Amino acid sequence: MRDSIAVVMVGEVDHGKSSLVGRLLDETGAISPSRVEAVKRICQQQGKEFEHAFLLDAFEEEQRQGITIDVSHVHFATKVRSYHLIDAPGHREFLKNMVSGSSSADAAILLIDAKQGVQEQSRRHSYLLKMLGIKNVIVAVNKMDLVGYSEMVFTAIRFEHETYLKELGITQVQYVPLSAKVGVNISNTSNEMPWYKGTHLVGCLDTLPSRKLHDEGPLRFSVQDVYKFDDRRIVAGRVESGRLNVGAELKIWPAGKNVKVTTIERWNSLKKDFAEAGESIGITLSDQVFIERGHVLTLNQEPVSSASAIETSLFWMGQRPLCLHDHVKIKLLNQEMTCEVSRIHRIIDTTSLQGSTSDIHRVEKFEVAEVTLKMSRPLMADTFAQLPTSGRFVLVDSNKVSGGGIITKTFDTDLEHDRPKNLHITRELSNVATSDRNARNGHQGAVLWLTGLSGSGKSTLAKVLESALFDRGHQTYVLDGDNLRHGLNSDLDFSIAGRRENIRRVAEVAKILSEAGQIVIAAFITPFERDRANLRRIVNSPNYFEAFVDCPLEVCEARDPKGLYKLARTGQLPLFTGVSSPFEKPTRPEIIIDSNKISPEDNMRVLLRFLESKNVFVNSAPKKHLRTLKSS
Amino acid sequence: MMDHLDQLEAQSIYIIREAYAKFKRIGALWSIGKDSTVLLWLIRKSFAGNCPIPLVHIDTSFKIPEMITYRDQIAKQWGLQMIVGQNKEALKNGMNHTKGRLECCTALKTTGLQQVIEQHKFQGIMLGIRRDEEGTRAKERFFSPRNKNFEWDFKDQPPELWDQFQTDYPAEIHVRVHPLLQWTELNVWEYILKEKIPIIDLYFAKNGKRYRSLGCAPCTATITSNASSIEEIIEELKTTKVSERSGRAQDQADNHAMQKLRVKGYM
Repeated sequence: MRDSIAVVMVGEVDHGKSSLVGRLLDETGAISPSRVEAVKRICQQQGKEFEHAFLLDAFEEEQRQGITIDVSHVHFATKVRSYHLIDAPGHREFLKNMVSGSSSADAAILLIDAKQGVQEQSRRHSYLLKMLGIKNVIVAVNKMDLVGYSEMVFTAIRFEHETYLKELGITQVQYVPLSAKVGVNISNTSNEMPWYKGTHLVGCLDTLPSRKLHDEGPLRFSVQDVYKFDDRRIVAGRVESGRLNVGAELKIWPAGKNVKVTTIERWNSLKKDFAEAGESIGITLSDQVFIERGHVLTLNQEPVSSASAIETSLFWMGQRPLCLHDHVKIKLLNQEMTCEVSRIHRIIDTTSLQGSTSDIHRVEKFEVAEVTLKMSRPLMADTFAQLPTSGRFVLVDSNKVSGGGIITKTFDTDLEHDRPKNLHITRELSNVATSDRNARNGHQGAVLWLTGLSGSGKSTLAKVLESALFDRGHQTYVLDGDNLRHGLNSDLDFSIAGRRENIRRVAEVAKILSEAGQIVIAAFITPFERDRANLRRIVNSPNYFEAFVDCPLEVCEARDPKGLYKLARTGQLPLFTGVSSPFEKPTRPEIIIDSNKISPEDNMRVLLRFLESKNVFVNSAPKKHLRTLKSS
Repeated sequence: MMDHLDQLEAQSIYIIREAYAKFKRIGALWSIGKDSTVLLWLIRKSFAGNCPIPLVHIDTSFKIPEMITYRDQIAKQWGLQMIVGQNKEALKNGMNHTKGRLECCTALKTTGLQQVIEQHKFQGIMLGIRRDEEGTRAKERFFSPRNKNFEWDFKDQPPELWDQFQTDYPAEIHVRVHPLLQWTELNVWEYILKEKIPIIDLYFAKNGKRYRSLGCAPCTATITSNASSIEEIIEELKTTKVSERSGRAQDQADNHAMQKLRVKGYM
């Protein structure tokens, strides 16, 4: 079976999307000659010239008005793979159809008319693609025949849009000049544009990466239903991310009960004792615990975020505006509950692309906004950056799906562990949105946690990196174990419990600093997997990165900068990591740093590139950029 | 690693289970053809081999006779709850394709279905239509509402994001659920092969002819083909340039025949 991906075609109305789709179908042999003939016949009857667009616009109204009203889904195949192509309408009135079409896509073709250049709709669609989490974009500059196949025109458009996409954080972009009408550079290399060294459109498509299912990362099994057709009680649902194994110890969210997977139920399928992301399965459990639609199963030892409020970017398409303090229904996985619009931080009007932040009370139809939603009961939620499938939601107003959005931050319901002793303590939400802080700083807050043996070079690396970030104009701060033990943690000893509490406090401080916008570098041995998992849960941010500073024990011991190994070997330092206490090697660090062979300066550059690749230096708020666009 | 067919299957099961969880009264349309038989198979897959949903067959009385034999045999074998609908009044008044193909389809199929939905107060009805069949189906939603007059408001369809479907409607609205929308004709055959689904043998070539799409006898033509097994059909589909519904007369009755039929409630 060949690989298949879904690609959405977006762009301004009249820039030729449907023509290009029709052309692609024709050139790849996906459309039958009889169908082309039938459409040609209709054109003849109506006295107009045949266009490839008519192959897609099936409704009489669409053909008569020459516009696409609703999304069309078609299929074609190249030598490399098969494609599910989604032709989305460009007309503003049909934005909800464009969003519907794009939400299931793996990649996008953004069409720009060479003669008209980048239009507002081109930017609006780009913005929505970013919101929908589409990272791979092919920008097709169409109608090159109308500008004499000019390299200058192509380069100018490319330059203008490239800057915009970069600011949005869309970095996997290919640019291709073509003419859908004439059929230039679609599936054949063109003679018209010898200056263009890249491949034709089909070639660009074939280089797109395959569909990525979220196999890695924490397990989220969303319960759709519970069936009892015979003596089995089958919990039906889908593995949204991670992997589910027979025998795995699971936790039922929200009840917190622990259960074990007894069997995975599939009918007329090969027996397998695991299920991967994307599979719709049934499972039976070891205990007859209460479980129903909307519950989520996670791995017992893994952290799960139980949100009382979420910060979101959302797209509104309801008939009436979404107002401050409105109550609407939120649907995330199979969870449904009421939530309140507790704050509207910013509106990005998708028509003018202006950002405004002053005292906003409503989100109008087709606007994109940054909004905080307060839940009526705890919501199992992840940030979109961490886990896309459980980091996105729709809003239902008067029984109509009226909005969709992605989660940028979760505010946890206080978990048992961190629950304040005083019941009258609640959470206050800040008036300043995370994106506002990021906009001012020009980067996001983050926590880079360096774990490794004593003497592996964590502190040295932390300080070199701090200087480098500072010199680049970033907000940054190093948290160092010894320093904190002088003040905040001076009451703690080096017992297991004392060390654990030490790490918990540092994690809380790191969380606060990163929320304040700092790039926090923490240098701590943190030898236990359990503590590392715990602090990851406390910081609870997509920008939490565990870096394993890897250096052999012998090398660390030979370095022994503080003379601690010597003390430990002579028994004067009990429970010393590597000597009399274990160092559990990190099983899933975001990055491994070789501090044995590689210098701190080179490792600093590795970490800078790493943070860059994680988009930490991307300012997620578009406001600043959009204002410059407007004034230019 | 899940391949494309696995992904299609998983998504269809997800949709079927959503519809079953959301609609108390739900049926599935079984036309006996390959698509709705795959749908029936996927329903059994969704419910651990059971079929808790009644199957609706709209019998125009003009169906190819083998189809009825096959239907009754499978229904018995798999223990299916069958609802057979027929617009008896139209038949009594002598409706047939010679009165106009679109008129006949509307009376015997659309109205026939309407009667069943009204009688059983179905909130949801599953259908095995696919987007690659023809242009207006390419624009369908997974959960597609029809008003009390059965009309499809294709200019204002609900948004569908990330497998979140709009399912709350007043009583007079019913929702067409389309679990196979993303599948292609080729996918359907590949799945039949993989799962060994017992498909009606009208699809297999005899004496150089086979049916590619099944319907009423007077309006359904065979195609020239020597494909007499599932494997051969798959090979044939990989090279054919003829559209799937070319043998269905109603599609060709008018330039916008399918749109005209479908806005009024045709499948």
